[in-house]
Amino acid sequence: MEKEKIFVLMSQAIIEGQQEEAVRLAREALELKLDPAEVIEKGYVPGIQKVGELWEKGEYFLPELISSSEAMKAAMAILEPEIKKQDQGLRARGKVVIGTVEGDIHDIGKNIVASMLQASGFEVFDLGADVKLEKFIEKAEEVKADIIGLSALLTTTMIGQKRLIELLQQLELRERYKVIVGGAPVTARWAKDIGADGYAENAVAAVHLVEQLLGTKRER
Amino acid sequence: MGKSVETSKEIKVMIKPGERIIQGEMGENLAQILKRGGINLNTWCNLRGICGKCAIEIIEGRVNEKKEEEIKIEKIKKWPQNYRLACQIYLEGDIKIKIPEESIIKDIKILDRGLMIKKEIEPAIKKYQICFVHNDLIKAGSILNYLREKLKIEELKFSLKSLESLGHFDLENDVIIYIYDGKELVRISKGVLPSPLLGLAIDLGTTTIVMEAIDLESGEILGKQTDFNHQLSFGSDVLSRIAFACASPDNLKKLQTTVIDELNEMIEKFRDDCGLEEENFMEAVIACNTTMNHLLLGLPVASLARAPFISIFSSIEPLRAKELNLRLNPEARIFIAPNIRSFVGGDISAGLMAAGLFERPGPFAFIDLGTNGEIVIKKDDQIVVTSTAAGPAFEGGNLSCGLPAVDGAIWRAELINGELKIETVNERPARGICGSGLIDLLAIFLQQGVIKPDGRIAQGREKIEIQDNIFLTQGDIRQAQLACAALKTGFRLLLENLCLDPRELQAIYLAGGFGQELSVENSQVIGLIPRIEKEKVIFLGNTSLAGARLLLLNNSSRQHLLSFLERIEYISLAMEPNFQDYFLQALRFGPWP
Repeated sequence: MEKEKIFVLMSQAIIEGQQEEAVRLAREALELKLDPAEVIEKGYVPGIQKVGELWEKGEYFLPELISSSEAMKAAMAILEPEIKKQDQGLRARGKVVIGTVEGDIHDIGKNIVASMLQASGFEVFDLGADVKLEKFIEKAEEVKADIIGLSALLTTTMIGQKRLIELLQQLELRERYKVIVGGAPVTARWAKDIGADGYAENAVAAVHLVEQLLGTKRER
Repeated sequence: MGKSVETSKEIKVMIKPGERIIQGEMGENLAQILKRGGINLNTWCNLRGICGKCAIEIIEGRVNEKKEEEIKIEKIKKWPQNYRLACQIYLEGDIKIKIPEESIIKDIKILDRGLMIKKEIEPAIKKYQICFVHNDLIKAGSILNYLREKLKIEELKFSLKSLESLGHFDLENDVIIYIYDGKELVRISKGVLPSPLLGLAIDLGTTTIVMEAIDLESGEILGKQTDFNHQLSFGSDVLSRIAFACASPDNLKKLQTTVIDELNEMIEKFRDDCGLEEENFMEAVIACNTTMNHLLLGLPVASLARAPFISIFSSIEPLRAKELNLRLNPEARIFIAPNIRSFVGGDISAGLMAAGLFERPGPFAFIDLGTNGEIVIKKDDQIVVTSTAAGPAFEGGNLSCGLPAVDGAIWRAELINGELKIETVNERPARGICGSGLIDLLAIFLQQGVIKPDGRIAQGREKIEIQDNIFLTQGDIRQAQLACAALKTGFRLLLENLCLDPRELQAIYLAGGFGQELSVENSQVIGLIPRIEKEKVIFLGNTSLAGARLLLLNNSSRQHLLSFLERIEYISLAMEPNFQDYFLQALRFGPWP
């Protein structure tokens, strides 16, 4: 099959959230000895970008977003080891430590953001829900993260986002990380008030925000 | 000790009119015989001969002589000579009697609709007229001992203050003694004035407060008031009120005073409008969610809204009105319906009690749909409960044209010959959409294909026009999907926990804001509730208020409720491994199972 045709099918599989098809195409690409980096860039990435557009237009909602990003992740899981084998040194677009702050056990929103970031090529360290503030910083230090993402779903736990920023300041680490916040009760205003580097209303916006903060925006 | 031959002799009690005969034994108490025979005789004072409520008319037969107290009651009540207190009669031979209507305990209807639940009037607080018989008083040795004997309460509890007030009464006249929970002396008043025994049933909602003044002896509802909860100005839902309360100790105090002041204003209105004196209100039962009862008591609420979501109390001993600055009788008791968990409060526990659901074998589901959707499912002896964050969409909260069910809100819609017909509250010109209207509209648009099952508006349109300036946007539909999915996911996880297929449910009871205007079919079309026969979906109305009413009028219900609560298992949805998968699946509109 022609390369271009496969790329179209790959993009289609991601848009439709067809995980099995996305995986099958990834395997086929390897059998055909296609360059895995090019396959990701030209086959799969346009798909997930289209998904983002459909979300922004309101045509896609959470289930579609999740199945597309899951399909994307599954395909990447096939291709990335090959890239490493070939030692092409594919670098992640950036590292994000993410979690729901302490006192809060809600994590669907955070999971979707993590999934979309991963599908968009960022390396994501998901710490889960009800995460101690110190834990975010430890992990970020350990993996040399670029960004710390904090989710809070309750008006009563949002305060954790503010405290983390204060904690970073106390430890004189504030300059080292970009801190982004999100969650149902969180607003751009709140993000600004607590001195966060950014706020995103949803998973697709979060991808844009991270790209913008790291200056790694892809050409559309 | 064996009974003597004479006392075990069988005797007959014949009840007129009719030929009903109940067998008794020589020397046996008549009230007890009648009770045993299934007659619902009013034994308000537990056979102590002091309340005068178990009067019967003797038609034929010989009985023991009246004592001084009975003669006093007879005079007060102006009874004919042949009237006697059944509890003071010990049989000496066959008798024929007639039982007046007023000596039979009346049942009270608990729910306003949906299910017929009747309970006996048996309040926690009772009043008794006591006369002082000189010889007995001398024998007893002290006024307190006299009361102990007359009331037949050996361990009579009292405060120093009530002891003091005992000394202020003239022993020539009768007094009225108020006893709480069968053991505690809470008030003494002069026996000459007729004073009603009143109570309040209060549904203290996050949005609305409903208060009923009830005569505790007759069960009659004497007045009712409804008002918005004035705490609304500090936040519309429980979480925003918790956030406000946590911001400073002054804020917590402010929330408490706001609600207490409002309750006092309502109590005052009962005096102004219905002539009910504050001092005669001897008890209040308050049913509300956990946050509301914590705020009412001025308790810190921080722990309620962060993991592990723990309340300060579930159940507490009744408080005194004066402790809360409630303007009832200062000694009036305030009973708070017990909480189940931090997000499933006394409003739900009282509601379950009111609907008699603990006694029903099930399997059934009980849903109280508001900003939080509480779900309870019972199967045999197992009861599981959860709370879902449904959000305000079904209360018209976060929709572009959303309204609560006020004048002009679209609350019903249907397709007639392919044309959309809408109905508004009080037939006022349409100015928005409330919850039940939203459900109808969603169902219609789904069936027409205007909305796809994934929630998308067909043909890439951004909104659906319903009338001039009233529309549903893509964002509104997304909000409805989230609300619907939250409830559906909770429902599914509880059912799974009990290994129950939704089709096995014998009933789904709906409590809370939604009333008969909610279309069961359309709720099932969008998937808000599972598909079971329409007749099995039963609207119960305000079960929280009904529960408060029941707990106020029937003291034993309180103990029952507490023992039932021990059997309830709380399921935290966010901790369930399948929660996310189910939630994402549930975002799709459509009937289930």
